[in-house]
Amino acid sequence: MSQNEETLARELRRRAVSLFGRSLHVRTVDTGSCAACESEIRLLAAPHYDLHRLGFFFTPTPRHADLLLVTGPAVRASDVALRKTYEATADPKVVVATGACALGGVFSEDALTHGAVDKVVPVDVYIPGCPPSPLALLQGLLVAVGRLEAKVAAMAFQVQEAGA
Amino acid sequence: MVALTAELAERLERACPAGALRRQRDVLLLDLGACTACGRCIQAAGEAARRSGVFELAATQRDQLHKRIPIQGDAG
Repeated sequence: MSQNEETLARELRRRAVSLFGRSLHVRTVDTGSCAACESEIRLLAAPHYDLHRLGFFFTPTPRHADLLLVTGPAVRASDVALRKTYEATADPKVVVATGACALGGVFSEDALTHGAVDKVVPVDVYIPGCPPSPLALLQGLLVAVGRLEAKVAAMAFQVQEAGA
Repeated sequence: MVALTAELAERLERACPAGALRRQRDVLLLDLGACTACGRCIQAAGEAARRSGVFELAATQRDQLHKRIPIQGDAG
């Protein structure tokens, strides 16, 4: 692993530990991707990058997720799935649009597709690339953790009294 | 690296299938979010375009991925 990768990984781990106690869960949502982005996302869990050592885990359910990693150009057939996934994810959450399709670079808006993810759900972080490399994804996750920190800081917490 | 002339800017815009390179009067707009890294800009105008190798591009606003490159000389 290069110096650059190690520095990026160390910073990501430090922030994930301080914010989520080594337990930040990621839910991937495919809205019509060609699967190149998914292929790169899968590489994050491979031994070279080993995302789990940084405290990030992929989860099969949005109810356990803190971060939605959305790929694809938001085809209209996936509208319900994407919206339901977004609504099922507990706050604070961040949505990361991943890849050129999700950012509106490949498909224009037409009868079949919205052309970009931010036309369907609010997007917090944009990761460009076709597909984005695992390092680009790691840097995007670092930016997303920064957004989560800001959202957590802005939330009002209430301490529930015992027996209330 | 050569200066970006109006002729080169037009060539680059025509070559880009994703519409990531768009000419806007005296600037060439590079939309990093739309770029698919197909390399056709390098084929069409290799003297003006090259791969940067930069991967730390994630942004919190979509327009942060827009780079404006001034067109040198007569913007035509």
